[in-house]
Amino acid sequence: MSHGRLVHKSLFGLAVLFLFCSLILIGRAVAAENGKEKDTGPERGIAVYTEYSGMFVSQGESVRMDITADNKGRTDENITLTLTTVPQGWKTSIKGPNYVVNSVPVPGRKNRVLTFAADPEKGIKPGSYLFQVDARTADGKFTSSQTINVVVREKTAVADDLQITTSYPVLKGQTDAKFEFSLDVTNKSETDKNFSLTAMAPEKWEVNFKPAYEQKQISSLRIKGGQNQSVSVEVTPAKEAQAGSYPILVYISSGEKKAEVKLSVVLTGTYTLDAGTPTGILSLESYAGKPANMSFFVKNTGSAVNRNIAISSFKPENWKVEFKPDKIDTLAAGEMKQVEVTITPSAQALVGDYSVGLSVEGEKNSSKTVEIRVSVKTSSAWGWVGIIIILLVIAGLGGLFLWLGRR
Amino acid sequence: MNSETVIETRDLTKVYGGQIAVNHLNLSIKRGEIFGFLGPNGAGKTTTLLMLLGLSEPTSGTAHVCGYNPTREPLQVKRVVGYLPENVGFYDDLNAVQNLKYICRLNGIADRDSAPIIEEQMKMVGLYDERTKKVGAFSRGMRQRLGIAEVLVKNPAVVFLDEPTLGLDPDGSRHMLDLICSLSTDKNITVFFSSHLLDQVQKISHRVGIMIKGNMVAQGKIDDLAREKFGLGPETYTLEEIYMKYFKEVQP
Amino acid sequence: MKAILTICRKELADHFSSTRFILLFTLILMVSLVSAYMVGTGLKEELQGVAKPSFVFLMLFTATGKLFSLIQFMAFFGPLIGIVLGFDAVNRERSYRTLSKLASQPIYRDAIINGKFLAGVITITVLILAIALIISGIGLRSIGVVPGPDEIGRLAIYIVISIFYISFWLGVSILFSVVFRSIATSALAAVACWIFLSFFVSLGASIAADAISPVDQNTAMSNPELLLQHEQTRHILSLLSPMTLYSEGTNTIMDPLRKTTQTLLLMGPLERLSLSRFQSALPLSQSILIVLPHLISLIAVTMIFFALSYAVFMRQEIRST
Repeated sequence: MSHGRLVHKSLFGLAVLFLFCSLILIGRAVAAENGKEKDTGPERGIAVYTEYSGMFVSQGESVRMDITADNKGRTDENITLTLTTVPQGWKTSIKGPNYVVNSVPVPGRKNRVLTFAADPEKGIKPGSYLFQVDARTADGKFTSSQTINVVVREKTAVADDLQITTSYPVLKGQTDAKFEFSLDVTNKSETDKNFSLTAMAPEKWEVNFKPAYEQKQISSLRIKGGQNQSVSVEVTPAKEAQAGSYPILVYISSGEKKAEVKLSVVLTGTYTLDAGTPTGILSLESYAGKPANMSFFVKNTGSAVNRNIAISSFKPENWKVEFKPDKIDTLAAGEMKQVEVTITPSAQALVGDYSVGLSVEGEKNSSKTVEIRVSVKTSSAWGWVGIIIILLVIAGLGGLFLWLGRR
Repeated sequence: MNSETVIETRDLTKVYGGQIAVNHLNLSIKRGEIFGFLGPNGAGKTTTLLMLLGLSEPTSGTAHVCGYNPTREPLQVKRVVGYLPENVGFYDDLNAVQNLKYICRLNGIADRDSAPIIEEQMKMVGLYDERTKKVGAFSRGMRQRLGIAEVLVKNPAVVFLDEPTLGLDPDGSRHMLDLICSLSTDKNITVFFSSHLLDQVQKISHRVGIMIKGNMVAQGKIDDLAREKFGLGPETYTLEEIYMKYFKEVQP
Repeated sequence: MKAILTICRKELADHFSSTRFILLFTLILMVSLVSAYMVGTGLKEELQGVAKPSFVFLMLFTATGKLFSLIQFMAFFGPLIGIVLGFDAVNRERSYRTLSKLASQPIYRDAIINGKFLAGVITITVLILAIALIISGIGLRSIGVVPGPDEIGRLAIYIVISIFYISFWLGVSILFSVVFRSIATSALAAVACWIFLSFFVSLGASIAADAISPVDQNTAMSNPELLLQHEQTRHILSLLSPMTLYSEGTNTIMDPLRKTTQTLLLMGPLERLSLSRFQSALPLSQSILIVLPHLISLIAVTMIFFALSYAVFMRQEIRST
């Protein structure tokens, strides 16, 4: 239906155009009659020509060029344009600014510029393709034709372009992990170029660029014309980063040309605990049967809140190990709490170094064991008793000397 | 010869396990005197000597030797008293000089001072030629003489001689007696000696004491004792006869 | 004091010139040389491939070699040194008839026994120091180990304990030499005492422990408490032997890894695990504290025996016969 109306409309347009042209032609004829002695050109003559007659395109690339219908004569002509030769696999058309056209009125000694368009279908093979455009006057007395030879070549980086691709733009992991994205940067231009690399990441995150399989850090790279190169982007999340999705924008630029790629890091919450002593000293001196105190800290080094942290000990039999507090209800990420521990070796403990393990256990298998070296010593109290005994014996001997000696 | 009393005892008594060894002994011996102390074996002579030296503690009574109390001031007493025990012993594996040197050291005489003293004493007792011989090879007489030398190295005021002539041959005895006499006459040393060889005692003693079963039964000059018992002088009676008379009185 | 030194000097001269002492000294010297040589060659083989051996120096004294270690030898035969030095100390003077003469010199009477004891102790010290130094020298020469300060300290304490141990026997034999007039009797008594205290006490301790807290072989496994009680009874009784005191004391001080003088302990599996985690040597001060009761007992018993012989000697009448 719509097609019919269009044809109708265009027919109507053509009729109007025809009428209009006829009026002009009459007027010109009158004028020509008047200025016969001045105009020496031929009465009639047309020509059609394209911008180029032969060209290279890469595979899949469309062809667009000007096509000019020229009226060489003094008479106004209505020129019909026909694409007489269209190779297989191409769709061609001649377009004006608004419409696809097949004929165009051209006043004498004037020309009209239209557009020639040829679009290849998918899978066009490389090779030489010949197009022909015929132009004919309304009465068919004058014709002209133009051939266009389009050579389709393998798709090569002929275009002046920059492309970034990545296979895995989203990576997932724990806060303490490192994320490594691999980017493919293609220099589509013919010439070698330097590309500078920048990234936009959340605060305190670290983004480093490295060549693939190398440990250097780079901030720019040079890629030869038409070649590509892999760049790995190493992202270290901030230690205190909470669970969530974080975008990382990577910019690659070379002069005016700029490309960007959006990467994402999805952090899952981590559950890790740390324990230790503030001084780092993990040894304790004590006496058999006597309590000895020390304190240690429990720290949530994960990125999620840890709840119900239990504190337990691994100890020899008959030993007492007490904690204060003996459990921690909640510990926010990064938070630290101090635990006082009282270790009482058994009264019969031997002198020597014992190993006592202090364990903190939180959610999701997060745990930490601190091994304390408890040096049990002998109380020197008995040593003093012994020395007193010796002194008593010496005193007794001295008394004996005084009593019996002066003879 | 002055009349200073060097040995004095008053009621000196020693009881050994219920047995009275010395019973209320009263003695007074003057400087330079030779006092012969007689009695049978076990009469308490050696005990008396030991008490006077401070080597044995009296049960009761007091003693004074050169003004010192042997019980309270044994060192002072021992310094002035030379004691020759009965059948004196020596370190047989040492020679004569080494034995004497040891005694000198114990008396606090330095080695450089002791050498001439030892030499002098060895000459005096007639053992100078034997001075480097091991004492183990000495005869009994030589040992007794060495004993005298040993007593004299400390330059004593009093010497106690316990049976000095026991077991000596007649020549040895004679030599010994001469030595004892010379101590009194030449050096004015008080000699307090015990013996039961009565003729020897009679020969050299100024005074004698007779002790039987812990009791001093007689004390005084031999003449006086003879006169007391027999009314006669000592020329007629030997000390042995006097002694036997006393002995029989006590032990009928 | 001067008199003590004079007597001591004479006694020392006597000791070092007497044939029996020279024989004994040669014997002990030979034994220590042989044992040190055996241990030295054995250790050399053992230590090959050990990266950083610790307390090798002390092994010279504690390693048993092929027959016995030096400290075992000292525990068994050290008393003989003391007995030889003391069994005729006083009664020899009596039999030589020099005692009353000696006593009549211007010296206090106790100078005689003090000087004799002192001379004995000095001789013992010289002897033990000589043996320790000779073995150290052999060790330095044959295996090239240099002792650290801790080892030297342990060796010094070992020497002190040994001196007291042998001095104890010196005291015992001097007591017998005071009590018995006959030299042979006092020698026999001292040897009998040595054999009894060294060998029969430990035997008797086992028998007495069986009687006091009997242990059935069948129930022993199921009731470790009972076994421990039996062992403790035996241990306490065997401590009556100076040899046990000495052996336990020296073994503990010479082995830094030994944490107790006890031979049997009741220990839970966790406790053992915990203790075995750090195979560390005890510091010297802790080893000393562990052996202190032994050391003090030995010192006290030595002093008591000396005091006993002193008192007996002083109370005795000096008789020439």
